[in-house]
Amino acid sequence: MKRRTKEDPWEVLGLKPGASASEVRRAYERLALALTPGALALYSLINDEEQQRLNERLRHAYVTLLRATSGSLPGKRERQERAPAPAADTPDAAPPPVRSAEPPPPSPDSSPPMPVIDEATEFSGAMLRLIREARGLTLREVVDRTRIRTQQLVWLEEEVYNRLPERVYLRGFVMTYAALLRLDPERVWTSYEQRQQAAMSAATS
Amino acid sequence: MTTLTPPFPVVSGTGSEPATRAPETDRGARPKLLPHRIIAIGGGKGGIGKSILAVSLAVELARRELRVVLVDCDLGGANLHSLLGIDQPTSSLSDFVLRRAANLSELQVPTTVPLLSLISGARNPIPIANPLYQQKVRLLRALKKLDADVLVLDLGAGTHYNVVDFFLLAHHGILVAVPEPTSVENAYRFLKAAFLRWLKALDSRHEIKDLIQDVARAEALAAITPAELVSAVTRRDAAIGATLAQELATFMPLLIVNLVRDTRDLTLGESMSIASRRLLGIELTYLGHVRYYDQLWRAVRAHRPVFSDQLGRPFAADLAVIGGRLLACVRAEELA
Repeated sequence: MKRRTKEDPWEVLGLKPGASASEVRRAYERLALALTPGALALYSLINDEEQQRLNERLRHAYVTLLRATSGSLPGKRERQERAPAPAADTPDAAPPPVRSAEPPPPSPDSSPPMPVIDEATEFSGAMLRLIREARGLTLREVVDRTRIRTQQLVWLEEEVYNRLPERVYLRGFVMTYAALLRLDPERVWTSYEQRQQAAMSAATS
Repeated sequence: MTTLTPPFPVVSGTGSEPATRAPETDRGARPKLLPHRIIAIGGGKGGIGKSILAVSLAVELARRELRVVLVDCDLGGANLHSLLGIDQPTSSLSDFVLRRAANLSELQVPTTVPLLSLISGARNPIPIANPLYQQKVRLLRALKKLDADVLVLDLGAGTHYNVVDFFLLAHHGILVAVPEPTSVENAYRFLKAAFLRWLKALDSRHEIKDLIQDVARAEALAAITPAELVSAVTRRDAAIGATLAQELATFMPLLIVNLVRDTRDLTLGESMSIASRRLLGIELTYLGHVRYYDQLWRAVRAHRPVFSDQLGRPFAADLAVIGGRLLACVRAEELA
């Protein structure tokens, strides 16, 4: 899953280098919608494995660019408030050198920098992923600790809404996940649900 | 979705299309509004409203003051005359193919729509459904000589090379799909078939036949996408790979999504365009959608012309968007 370090994330999202954070987000959302698992437009074109690789590439490019365009500050405020101490509470985490195979974050830290979290932060799937990575957690570790299935977590982070479970279950997933990330579960859920509903109504209006 | 909603005065020019207006000044001397353009409409599947779309689009282009000839190339089962609400013409394409008519213009019949005429295929005997390649080329040469601005060819269903050949020989090929898995699958199949057929034509132009065949054999041609073929060829011969990539970039089919009933499917066209570029390596330009209109089917059933004003503004708006983007593509190519 972490092979393609050479790929130009701008190119993957079909953008010119230097596009703004909102352009990055729009491009990603457009592609993610078009290439979402099970999309009619993909019928007969792609198998599950290719689908997974494709979505991983998109997400990887998105996350890389999101870091480059917005959340590249080390997130001092966040750290002071909540004292995260990454990796300290994850004894089963992979050793730091492995993790640095991720795209080079502009930080001496072994984990990617924590994105800025403030009042206006929108807890999108991608944002949760950024925070998870900043906390030095792999998907695997989250699965082990939350008992949420890997696929569900991936869909949750990718915002593949049509594959996610009913609201009650989803709420449980999101809040459990938020708590593990030491975020305010209620706030994260409210934000996540807002995005979901906006996307759903955009798709049906 | 549809941010482009030009005004819609019926039949007369819209006035909102700069480039169809610009050349009007030198119209008297029979210069062309556009270089003579042939637009073919095809798609992998039958029963997806291709013919009705071909008629509607031809009417839309005529409305923009282009002289349009609609050519019924569904050589197996042509019936455009009935969609236009006119009697079956006494002569048809088969007369030309069988050399009973020397000129295509003899076969041209006027319709009730100003600037729009029809060349019928309705009387084609079945054997004409599979014309020889030379016959196709002769037909195409004759089509190019017709005095008109735009020819709209309505092709038959399927991915048979006859259909694909007309699709490729035209200046612009429009693929029609409807929001159903079978249709989407057929559309991609059509694209791949068209690409392979088109590669064969390339062979003779660039002496790269052997290499392509070699690669195709090694990589199991049936499964390979155009993008994969280009990169496989590039690995063996970078120069030929570059030529091929260049040629692939000129293969630019267009897409219309027809019979849209569900608002969720309004994004299908753009998604297919993205998927085609990403996964097939084919630049599939999305022209727009036409929603499902019950009145349209009632008109067909009642043998009324399918372009009547009673269809109302939404239908007209759908077509106006498609017409505008199509002409933009035509002009873009003209500049290139």
